[in-house]
Amino acid sequence: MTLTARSRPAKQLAMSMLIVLLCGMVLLELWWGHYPLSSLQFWQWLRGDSSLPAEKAMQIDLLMMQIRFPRLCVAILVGAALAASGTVFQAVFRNPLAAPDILGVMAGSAFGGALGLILGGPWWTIQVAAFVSGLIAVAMAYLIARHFPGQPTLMLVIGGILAAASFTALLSLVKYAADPYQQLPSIVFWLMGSLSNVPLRQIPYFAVPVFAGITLLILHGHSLDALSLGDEEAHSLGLPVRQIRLLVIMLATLLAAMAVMMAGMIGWIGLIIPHLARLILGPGNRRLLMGSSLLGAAYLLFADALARNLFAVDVPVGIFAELLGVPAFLLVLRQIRRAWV
Amino acid sequence: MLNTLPRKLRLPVVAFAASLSLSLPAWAATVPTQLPPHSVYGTAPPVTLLVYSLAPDLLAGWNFPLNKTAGLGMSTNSEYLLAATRNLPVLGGWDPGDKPDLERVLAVHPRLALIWAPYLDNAQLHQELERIDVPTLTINLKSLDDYPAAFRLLGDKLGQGARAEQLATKFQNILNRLQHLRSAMPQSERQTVYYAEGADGLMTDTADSPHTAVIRAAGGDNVFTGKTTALKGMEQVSMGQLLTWNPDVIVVQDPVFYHRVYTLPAWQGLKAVKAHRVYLVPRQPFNWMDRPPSFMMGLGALWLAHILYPQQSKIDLNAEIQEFFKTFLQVDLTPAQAQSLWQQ
Repeated sequence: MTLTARSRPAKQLAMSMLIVLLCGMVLLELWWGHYPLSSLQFWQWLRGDSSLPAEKAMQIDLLMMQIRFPRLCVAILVGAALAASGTVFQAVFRNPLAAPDILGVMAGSAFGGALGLILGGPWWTIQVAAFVSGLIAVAMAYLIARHFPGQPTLMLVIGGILAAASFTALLSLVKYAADPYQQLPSIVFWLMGSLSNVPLRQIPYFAVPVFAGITLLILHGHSLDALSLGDEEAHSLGLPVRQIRLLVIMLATLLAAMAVMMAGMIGWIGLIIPHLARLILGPGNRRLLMGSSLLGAAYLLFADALARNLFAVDVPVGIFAELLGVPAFLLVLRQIRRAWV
Repeated sequence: MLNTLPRKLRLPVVAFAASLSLSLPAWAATVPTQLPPHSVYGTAPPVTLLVYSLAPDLLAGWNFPLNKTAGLGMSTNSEYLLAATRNLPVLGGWDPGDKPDLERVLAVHPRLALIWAPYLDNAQLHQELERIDVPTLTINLKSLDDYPAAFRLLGDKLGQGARAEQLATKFQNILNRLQHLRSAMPQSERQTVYYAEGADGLMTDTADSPHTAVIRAAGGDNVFTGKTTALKGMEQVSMGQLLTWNPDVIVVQDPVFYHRVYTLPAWQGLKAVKAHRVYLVPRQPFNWMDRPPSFMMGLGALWLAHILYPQQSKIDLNAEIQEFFKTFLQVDLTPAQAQSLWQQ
């Protein structure tokens, strides 16, 4: 793979490029939209220029602080969370096809969140419900894979398909039980996959667990390297294998659950972005987690900008995230195949 | 006034009054009486069309493109649409499968947003409109009987009291006549109705659904008595089920299906098809029955009553159509035009 940076300075350069890419996407997301906003007005607003007419300035404030900025935050958090989660699942299961959607974690979280929503209760109980049922889904996939030894890569994917199918069915059951005029529209709106569901004041409730989760995982990056060599090797390096594995699986599930709670079901990112990042940065998990998070955030911002602006009607962001995912997946397929056989 | 209260009571009273004023709905404090043109945004078609009827100049935009005929009842042929409203922007709206890009709504700078209660009066919607600082007015349109009050409430808020009163009175008059027709109708003479939706005619809505209000108002017995499970409706039924129901009359929403129904073998066994009592719902300038449900249902109910009970109802349908169009849509029709709207 000629793309992969091999030397340390090259890797640092690659990481800096990812940061620049993310910054570019941030500006694109803030500037490009249906509200007629010229580059000059955008620049004036960024500088806090007082020459804008008062009413226009107030509208642009609303536009930026209530619509575009929250959406920007959600795109970054969701993209980073899903990509980091996928990176961890791939390392800990030593499986190039592991990802939160493939393992059924996202379906599990969607069920938990919907159940929490119809049962009522404060916001954190919904998050806890999404997290717990996401964990149950990943446990289910893992146990199914362990029960049928032989082809671990394939069996984990099959286990994930079964877990996702079970939780999707349970989700339909919840939808059926929901009050058709109040709760059901809420659930449907949420699961449609939108980056504009979370108002500004709720962003911290998601940002804190996502940042904490990613940071903790980055701190455990070297342990992940050891785990991806296999249990015995990790054990011989003096690692408490079971505890670390449980911890990182829980953190990766937490990230996926937070992503689902913020934006509904957005597939593919958790599978493809880690491979793309690995293609650029090589296999070290600490650096890979940082790179994946940056790339995942930039990728979702780009998909969102296209989804909102390319057509006269608004297309759900999930559709574009998946459409762009196909060529990206083809790009990394060689790498996946190499790891598989 | 506070000075007359015992000292101990002052704080609780002030706190109570403050909490009361905080819990007042946002519009009570903030709706300006004189609204500029194009400044009222309906978040769903039923309330958007209410504005169209009452004060078309104030309408800020549509919820979906006017030329979208598939499934929805807005017509491509907008010759009966007021010219000034044809080029209004499409802002999107809230329904169980969709929501607008708030940027589009913000860009037209609405001064008032209308919310359709009880169906779409949910916390998210209020929260999102709050984000772009648009005051809201909730309008209850659960059944046809709510329309007169809705016209009056909206007329009051929009400074269109006189026109609102006129529309409310006319609408109430239609409801009263239909009520009279229903109560005079012996159970034995009531007609059973199947509402055919979808490309194969095998989607329908329940007897208690907001999508079938016209059937209820016209005194028809909807054959599908199941429970409503979602606002969107359009529930699948089977041909076997339909043959068992064997309705007297079928009303069809999809023009393509309507033109096929007399050639589909399975349908020829139905009483309604044999008797040529299958009718396409008129959709000029907005659907008369449903999708979206709107004030047009008043005319739709007269049309259906005329179809179900031609003798008993004593409705001069063409004259009714002319009057309804003049009153609610500000369009003058010739008798021939009125006739062409419902006799396809």
